[in-house]
Amino acid sequence: MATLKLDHVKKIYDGGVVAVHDFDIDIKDGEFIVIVGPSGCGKSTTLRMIAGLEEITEGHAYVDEKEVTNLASKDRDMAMVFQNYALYAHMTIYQNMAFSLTLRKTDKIEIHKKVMAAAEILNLKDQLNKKPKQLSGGQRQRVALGRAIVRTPKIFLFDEPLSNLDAKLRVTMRREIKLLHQRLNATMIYVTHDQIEALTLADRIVVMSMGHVQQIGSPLEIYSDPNNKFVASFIGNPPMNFIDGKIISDGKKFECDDFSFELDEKRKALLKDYVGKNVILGVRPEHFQEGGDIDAVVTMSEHMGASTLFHCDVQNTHLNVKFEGWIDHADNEIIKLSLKQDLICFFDSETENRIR
Amino acid sequence: MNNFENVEKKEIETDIMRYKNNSLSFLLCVIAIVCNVAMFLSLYSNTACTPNFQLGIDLLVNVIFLLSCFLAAEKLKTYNVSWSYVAFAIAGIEILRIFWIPTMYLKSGLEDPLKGLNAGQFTFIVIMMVIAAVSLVGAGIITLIKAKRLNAHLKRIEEGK
Repeated sequence: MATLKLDHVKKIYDGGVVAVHDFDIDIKDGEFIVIVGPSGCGKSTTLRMIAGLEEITEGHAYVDEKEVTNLASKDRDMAMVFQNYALYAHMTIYQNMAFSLTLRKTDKIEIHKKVMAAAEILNLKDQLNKKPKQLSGGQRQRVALGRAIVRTPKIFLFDEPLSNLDAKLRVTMRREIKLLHQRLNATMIYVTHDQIEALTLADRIVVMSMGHVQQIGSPLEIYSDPNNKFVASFIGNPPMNFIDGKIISDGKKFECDDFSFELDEKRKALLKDYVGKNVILGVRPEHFQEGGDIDAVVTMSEHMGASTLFHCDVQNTHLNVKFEGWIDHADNEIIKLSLKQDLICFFDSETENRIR
Repeated sequence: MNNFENVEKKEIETDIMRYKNNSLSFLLCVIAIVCNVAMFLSLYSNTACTPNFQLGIDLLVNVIFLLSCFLAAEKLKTYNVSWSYVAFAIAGIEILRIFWIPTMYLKSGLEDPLKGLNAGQFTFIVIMMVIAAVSLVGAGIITLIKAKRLNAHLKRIEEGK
């Protein structure tokens, strides 16, 4: 277990392409950090820089307060789990798990103890004599995890480890990784583009876009208190509704092309500097309630079991609205909506930053 | 290291056999194959061959020997007790051949140097055949011992379940 500090780390590829801008974070011992963002945002590059697989162009990396910026990957004492498992096809599961220790010339008794302990944790004891091709995707990924565990590294690095698995298996494996973290209490850094994985696994989430860190915070902070429009749109499924509008009537009302509503006292105070200016209203689908002044026409319903998602139009404004339970509204039916004002967000229409 | 640690170490070493091949026996069988090939090549590269029934039988015996050795290597790798007896049998045949093939070709060499072996070649061939036979006996014995330990260990595990 270890702490990790990235001090204004930057990655510039040959040709001047900046993949990561000024990544700065202090990761505590035993913390589970998830780096999330769309494809090409620099999250895997960051992970590879931590692992030592990519050179850090600017800035410094420290493990347990010891600088590792220029340390070779093998000397950093980190274990990485890849999306494609990276198992040796000609070796048995036992040999795959023991391989890194064999290379380090560890005593074979010690290797056996560690492999068996990892196999026990990951429920792989009956598979140890098999070859990787005889296992399912989930089992292969468990082997990859096992290979990391036997090394008892300071830091575990996961590069989209569940992306090759089907939806059901992902849920199972997600739980297993969470349990593994609780059991080992190790420092883990996990890269994914799946916001559900980020929200369920992380102690803290790092949201990235275009090489920039957009926000670092707990899952709840990221979900309920996003820093900007990007974070608000990326986290949450279905995504947040964004409505361009204006603050009018001396800051008492929000008005867009298709509807308006009175602001409560807290919102009035918040938006006092934006009177007469354009803002973006952000409201999550689950933050609508039935009853109110907004007339929305249902265009499609999606029953999801525990909740129902309605696609609605308020004249030319499209809204996703989510209600708890199994609710039936016919297509083209008009439903009355209002907003839970405590939970809505406003963003500056120019900077797209959250108005706080 | 105290007695308890010794017992535990031995237990773990036996447990490792569940997941690791009997590579030592496999290696010894491979050595037997290599020595036999060396013997065979040396014998016929130094002897003017006349295609006859004797040569045919020689070739056939060698091919069967090599094939059997290979099969034994694969089976002993997985701690197959039956094949350790087969390894003993192949080693027995090789020992018998030591008293037949080199002496036969040495005699021919004494009569006509072009048709047989000289003393140096004779020694090399005998050594190769002895190494092959000893390796096969060794592979068989090692497998018998290891398989006995492994089976007892597996039985204990089964009883413990």
